[in-house]
Amino acid sequence: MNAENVSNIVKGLASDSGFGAFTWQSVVMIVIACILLFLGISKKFEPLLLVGIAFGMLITNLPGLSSGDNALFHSELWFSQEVADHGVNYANVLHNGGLLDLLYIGVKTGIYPCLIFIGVGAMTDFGPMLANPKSLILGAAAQLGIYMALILAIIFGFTGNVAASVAIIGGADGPTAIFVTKTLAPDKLGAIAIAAYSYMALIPLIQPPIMRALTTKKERMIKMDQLRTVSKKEKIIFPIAVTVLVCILLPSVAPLLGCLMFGNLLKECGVTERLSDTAQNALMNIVTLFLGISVGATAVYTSFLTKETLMIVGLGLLAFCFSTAGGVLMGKLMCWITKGKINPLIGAAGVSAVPMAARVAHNEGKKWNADNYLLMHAMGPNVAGVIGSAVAAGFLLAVF
Amino acid sequence: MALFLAENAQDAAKNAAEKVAIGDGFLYALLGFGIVLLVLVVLMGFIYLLSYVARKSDGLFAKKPKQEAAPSAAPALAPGSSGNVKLNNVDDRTAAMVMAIVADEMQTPLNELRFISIKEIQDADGGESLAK
Repeated sequence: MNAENVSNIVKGLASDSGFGAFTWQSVVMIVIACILLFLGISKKFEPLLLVGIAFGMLITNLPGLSSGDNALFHSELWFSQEVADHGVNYANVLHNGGLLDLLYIGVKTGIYPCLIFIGVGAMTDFGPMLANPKSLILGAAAQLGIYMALILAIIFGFTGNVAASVAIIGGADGPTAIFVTKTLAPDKLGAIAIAAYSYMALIPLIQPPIMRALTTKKERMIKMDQLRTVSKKEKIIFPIAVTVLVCILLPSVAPLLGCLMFGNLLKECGVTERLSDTAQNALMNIVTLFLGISVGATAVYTSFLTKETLMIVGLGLLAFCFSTAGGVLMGKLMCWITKGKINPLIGAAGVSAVPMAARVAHNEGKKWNADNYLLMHAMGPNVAGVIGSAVAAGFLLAVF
Repeated sequence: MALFLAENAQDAAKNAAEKVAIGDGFLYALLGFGIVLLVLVVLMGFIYLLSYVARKSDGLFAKKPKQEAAPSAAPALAPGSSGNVKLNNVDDRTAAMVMAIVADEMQTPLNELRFISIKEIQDADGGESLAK
């Protein structure tokens, strides 16, 4: 091997490496991915998903890895004009796609959000909601942010599809946001998923000031009566009946709500403990792993570094704030109607985000009255919010 | 309702990729919020009905075992106890500790509290939500 050959090999390696392909956009995306990794790992902001999303974002934006044989994710297979006109060519994806392209099929077809809902259903105790059915009203009121964000997004000039996808961030429910966005605005999936999960992680910072601003000290100190015991029979009949009732009423809700209730039935029926355990742990972990990294991979700089992304982030925050305010204001109304038997703080827990929002309501109540234990009361609107955001998603999918 | 939405959806789908008029946006928002409220109110009514029926049927079935169980006396409860607590993956020692801590935190005598069940939450990383 002479000096010329060595020189050619070095030149070849240099041209193959990504260093020559660095652009300012890829550098910005790498920095954003690293910040999200820092927030996930160091600050523990929704780490189970944010770490995966951030790593997917990192790997797809490295120079030389955004297309070609070495790429794990090929955005052109999913977001090109040809795909917009004729739909996804899955044969092409299987033939030319990388690992993350294959995993992304689960997002695109809506499999992962549904599987996660089975796991969430298996982890959720609807007991507090069954013990206090009025909490469903709070769960409905806390969807206000979805519709306020929808109006604002339309005013800011977003198309109907993108406006609906941005609006669903207000439901504070990651799988629901992903389920709606993968159908209506797949090229905005990265931005919307990141905004949704980031705000969910920031609930302890976002909600308390709104809760304090909208309630009086007297209201925050209200102690609520102990909830009644819910029988096993009620807990078993509930998921079956809800599936039948709601899915007939609003069929577009069926994929999410059906899976949520199926998971819950596995938990409550008492004869499928192994399945319930798998849904809560192994299945949930595997799907979370696949979902996070493949959603993150969609955040390529061509679709992410736009003015629209900043607007999505801003509107997402407003949606969260309006949802919190909607829940608290309905809580105040119910407090007034029941002559002070309901603490309005539990209304803020109606924003889905289980169980973080309920913990925030409990902690806020405890700050003002050390003897106050609002956690179980707040879990009612909290799980009602999961149903409410799924219904809202069904409506948006049916209309847009 | 599903039929109504489906009919509207066809019209809306044609225009969804286009910008939506602000007036239409308000209408969609109002309709959407109304539907969420309606569905959850229907569910609320159903739950009230369910709990009423469950309590009634429990009352019916509860009479029989009462008569049958009378001869074999149930084990006596400790003085001041409010009944049994169901333990899931929790040993007696931990359960006793949890109940004592709760009573202490609430500054309420233990015999004035009723514990229905104590379950260990499998939360590997602690603090995070249900990955949703």
